[in-house]
Amino acid sequence: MFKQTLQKLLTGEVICETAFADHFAYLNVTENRARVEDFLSNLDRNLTYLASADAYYLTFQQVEQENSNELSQLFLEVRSSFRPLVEFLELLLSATQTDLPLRAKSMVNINALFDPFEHDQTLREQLHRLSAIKPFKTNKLESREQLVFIFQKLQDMGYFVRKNAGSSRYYATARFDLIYLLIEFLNDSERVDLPENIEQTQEELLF
Amino acid sequence: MAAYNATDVADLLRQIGAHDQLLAEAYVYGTISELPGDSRKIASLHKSGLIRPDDELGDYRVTAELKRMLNRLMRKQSSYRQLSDMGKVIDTLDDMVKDYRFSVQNNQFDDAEYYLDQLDDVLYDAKDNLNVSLENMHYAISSQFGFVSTLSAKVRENERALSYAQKLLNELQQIDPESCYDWADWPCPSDFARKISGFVYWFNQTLPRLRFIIDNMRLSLFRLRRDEKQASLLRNMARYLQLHPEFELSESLFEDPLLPQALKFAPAMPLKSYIDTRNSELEAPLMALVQALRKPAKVSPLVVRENSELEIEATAELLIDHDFFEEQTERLFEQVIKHGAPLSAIHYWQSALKSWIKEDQLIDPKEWVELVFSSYCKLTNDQQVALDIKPKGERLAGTSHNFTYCDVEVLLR
Repeated sequence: MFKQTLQKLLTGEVICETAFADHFAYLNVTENRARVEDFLSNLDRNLTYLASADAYYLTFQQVEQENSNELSQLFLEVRSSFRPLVEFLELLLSATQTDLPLRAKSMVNINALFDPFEHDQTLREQLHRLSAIKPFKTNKLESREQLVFIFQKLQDMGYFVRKNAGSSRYYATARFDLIYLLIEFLNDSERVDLPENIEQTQEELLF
Repeated sequence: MAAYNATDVADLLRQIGAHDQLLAEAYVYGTISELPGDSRKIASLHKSGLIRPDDELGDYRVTAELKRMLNRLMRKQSSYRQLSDMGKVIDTLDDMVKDYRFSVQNNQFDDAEYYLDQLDDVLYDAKDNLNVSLENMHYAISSQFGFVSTLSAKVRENERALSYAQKLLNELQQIDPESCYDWADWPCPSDFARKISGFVYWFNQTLPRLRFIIDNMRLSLFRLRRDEKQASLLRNMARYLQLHPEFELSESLFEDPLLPQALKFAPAMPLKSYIDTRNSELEAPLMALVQALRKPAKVSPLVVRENSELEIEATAELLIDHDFFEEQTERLFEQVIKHGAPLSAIHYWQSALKSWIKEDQLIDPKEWVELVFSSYCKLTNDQQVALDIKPKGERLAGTSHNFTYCDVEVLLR
């Protein structure tokens, strides 16, 4: 399992209970983790454990000339998917009306989402807008097809897993938690000046 | 209990059973409206204290007593916050124990039985209230406060449940097991001693359970608050992105000195391996692999085709059959068109006969007339529109268009 776990980590996977249960169980054993950490230190990488999501993944130790190209490539990818992912998560919040943000171990039944999107014009329009930007870009016109496409895409990107191919239940992986982490960082470090509250939005909408 | 007659209780239960649907609707939907035929039924339920009139005339609600019972039996969540004042319960118990002891020691067995009965009820009530509260709290946590749907309501419910559980813990801590054991520190009947030790045993079991619930509630509250914070951050971020379509994460975010370690994602490392072909140990599996991967030579199966011989004959010349007299009929039509005057087939036959004889051609006038007629019939529709043919003869009796004719006249229409 040492080899398989390392392979997963080195290829950029986020190991959580939902996505890679066996590897996750392996890393949860202190001795195994120490062995992996020891090996990774030779490759200038750290094994990071994100407690809020209960997940393991690799982080770099420092920016050097050797890795700066790769890092800028990776962060360009993060940059390009940030906006669509935030919009998707917010759309899901509005559609489910539970205020529960999607996080590791959450389960979404896509069948339960079809109805709100079919009956709510605003949600449909938001979904349509989302379907026009990468990586969710699709020519499909029906909201149902657009949703299926987006979920499929997110599964390909490692954000969702399904127990079997035909299932309508999508289990969220810890990758979603990394987006919240990024938002928190942007907010705390005052990189962005986030609006204070939602009521303000409603008032602005009225005018 | 002796104050009630078993028949009365059975009557009441029977009444509940007889109006199960009505009472269930009143409980689930809040009120029921009195329908014209129902007045007697409603009146009897009202009399039994099962329903009470609502502020709205003609509407009824289930009474608080029945509702409380149903809430409890249906594990309705609102019921878990009923605080039993343990101090008072202990005081009551203390009094009862004293009364019981006095009755037993003075051989007043009827009174002793009454006090023991009361004691049992109080103990059972206290235990049951707490057990139900604990069970409901446990259910509330495990269902993540599923009886309310919004996150803020869940947080509020969790906060309240937590403060309630803490109060409950304070209440329970008023019970001192040692002083409970003191109640039975006399040569008491075994029934009584069993009840007291049962209560102490229950107390010792419940306290850690409550502490466990409180710990879980704290954790659940922490998670809900974190969810609430994240949901609000997410909404604000989405709104910010909408307001600032130009916003992009910094290209050099990874160089940011403030970037937390958790966000310093390491780039994926492409993993490839090559085979050391000089290693003889690898030779056998490698060969097997190569053989397995080698493309099988494609042998396309021979298709057996059917064949047959083709006979080739010399091209036969098509002979165009000229009919002399058909050409002559065409001449006749030509004449009519040229001169514009009607022309009889017989007249034409007579005038052309000499030239025909010269060419060794001969036709009977009857056949000629029939030929002219049939040639006319062979003309195209347009030609027939231009030319007309009129038979010369008599109409057959009893018909409209049938003639016996001896000649035909061709004319322009």
